[in-house]
Amino acid sequence: MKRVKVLVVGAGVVGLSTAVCVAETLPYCSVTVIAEKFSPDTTGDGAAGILLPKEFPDIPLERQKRWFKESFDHLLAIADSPQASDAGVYLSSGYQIFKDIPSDKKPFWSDFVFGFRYMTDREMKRFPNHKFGQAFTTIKCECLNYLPWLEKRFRAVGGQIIHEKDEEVYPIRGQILKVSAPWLKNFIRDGDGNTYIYPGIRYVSIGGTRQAEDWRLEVDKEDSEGILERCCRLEPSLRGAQVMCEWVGLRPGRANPRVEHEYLHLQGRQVPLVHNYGHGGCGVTLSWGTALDALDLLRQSLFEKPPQARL
Amino acid sequence: MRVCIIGAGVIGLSTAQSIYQHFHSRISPLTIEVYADVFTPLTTSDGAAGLWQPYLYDKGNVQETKWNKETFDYLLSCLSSPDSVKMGIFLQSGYSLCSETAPDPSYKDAVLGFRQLTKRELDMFPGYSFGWFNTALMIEGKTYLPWLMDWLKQRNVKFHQRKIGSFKELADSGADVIINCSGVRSGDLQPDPELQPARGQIIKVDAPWIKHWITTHNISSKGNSAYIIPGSRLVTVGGVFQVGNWNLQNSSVDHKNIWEAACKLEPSLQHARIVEDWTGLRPARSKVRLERETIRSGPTSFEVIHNYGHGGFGLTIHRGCAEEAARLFGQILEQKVLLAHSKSRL
Repeated sequence: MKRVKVLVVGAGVVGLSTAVCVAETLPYCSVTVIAEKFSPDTTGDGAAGILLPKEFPDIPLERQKRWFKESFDHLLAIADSPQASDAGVYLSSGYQIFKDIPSDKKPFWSDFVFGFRYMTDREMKRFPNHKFGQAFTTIKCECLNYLPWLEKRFRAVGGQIIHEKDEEVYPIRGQILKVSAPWLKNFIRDGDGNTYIYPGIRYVSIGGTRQAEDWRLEVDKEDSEGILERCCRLEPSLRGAQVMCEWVGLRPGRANPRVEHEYLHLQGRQVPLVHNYGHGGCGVTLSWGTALDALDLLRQSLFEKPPQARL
Repeated sequence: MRVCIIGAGVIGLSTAQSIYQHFHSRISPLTIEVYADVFTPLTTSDGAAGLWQPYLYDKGNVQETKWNKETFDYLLSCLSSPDSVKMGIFLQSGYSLCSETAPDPSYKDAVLGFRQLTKRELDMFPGYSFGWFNTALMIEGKTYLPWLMDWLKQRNVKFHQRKIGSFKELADSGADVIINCSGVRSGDLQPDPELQPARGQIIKVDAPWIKHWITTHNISSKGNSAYIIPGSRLVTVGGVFQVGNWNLQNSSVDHKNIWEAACKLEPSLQHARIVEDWTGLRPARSKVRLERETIRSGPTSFEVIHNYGHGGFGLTIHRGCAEEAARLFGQILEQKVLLAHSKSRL
């Protein structure tokens, strides 16, 4: 008999991951996901889904490492299983290149991806405008496949879904082009985050833009031209690639992701509220790790005495 | 000067290209003709996955290691040209897995970013305790060969679909130099006990989420070792290496063994759509035969340059061998005092 009702707001990659974590782990919870947008209309659906974190300023490093490692390990197990093609999860190798040598040449996540190393001189020859590069193998998780796959898992343990409008954060607008270039197998990302080429299952995602407080969901032709120009310079063979379509997504921007709990005083009761939002461009990358964290926070709030009851 | 090349696989076509490149402006007239009974997409080169990867160890054949590296460097330089997609060449990274610790392969300095696999990576491949990761080049025969043929046709190289019965047949028709690139069937033109077919069968599969090649190396299996090599459209799954087997029919027993081994290596293949099987005969030999031979025919003699026996590494080594064949051709010209004459005209 399910005693505790849990409502998860949002059905993007973080919402569904959190919902699955709770529903699969806490048998006494009945979980409902409520959202306005579902796959294929969530932000994650347009994202390339390459697992690559950034370092947030105010969250302890150990916690960030845990978020990434748990997401990586969870997806690796899927990539290494017969489910990989259904879930849209697979290994992806490539390069992150920098025009100027970065202060942090070996970021915190270098131990969790595979085979992290600096690029050799011969490898850097392809990129005459860049001085330094990192090579590694990480995971790519395509939400167009992954979200329906998560939803199936969620429903299999009794999860419920409601379609309704949800809350918003400040956007960081990103535009990408989907091109047909099936001969491209390795990703290339400029360390400044503005130019990247991510080969996917049926198309290559090239981008990008980072426009804070920009709510425009329409395609910007100048952005497309800029993206094509920068990406063709890194990968000349893209000049022969056919553009399939353009897409715009609004990253849920925040200085740090908000993963914490509080209590809402509603109708005389203290209702636990767990926040798990604001992942910016790291939604897919941190989805499972933050979902596990949110699960822990939920467990804590269900079993600790809420503030008012102590009086 | 009339040059007749027998064979239109990657070796025949690239040899024609190298000879044209080095000599078309120095010898006039220079007629280059290619004779073959099969052309792309029906040659052995067309069925190969197209991964640039020599056998692990060259067993002292340092020439071959040099030719392999030359080919890699040449293809790498073509990557930045606007023709790279039309040539069918691109970079791809991948895993070389061994059942036990092994010395570094002969090609470790030729490829990009060569390194050993970490334990975490090896955990993904049960049964393999050691291996390497590197970025290599792909050259897809089905794209590269048509590109080569176009390149040659634009430069007036003539193609004839015909099975050549003997070198003499071409010599009698007026060939000055014959270049033998007839691959696994060279024995029909001149017996060669060192040349044998090494039959390979592959399965082509639609699995576009796989972005790395995986090759395995079992010392005891003598080349019958699984590999998974994604191409630009389909993934090629193999491999068998059956020496002495001339059978060009697909075998359902081989199919089953190849598929089981590959699915163990890459579980995600289980849900992949199988498109077709294909069988090819690698022209296996103890080492590549790349040398001149003067054949007497009554009162006259004619020159043959042999360029065959490239086993399972024809695409890998083709350019280095083509350039060497062109060098041997240059020697022939000097001996016929033709080259010296054209030099003195300058």
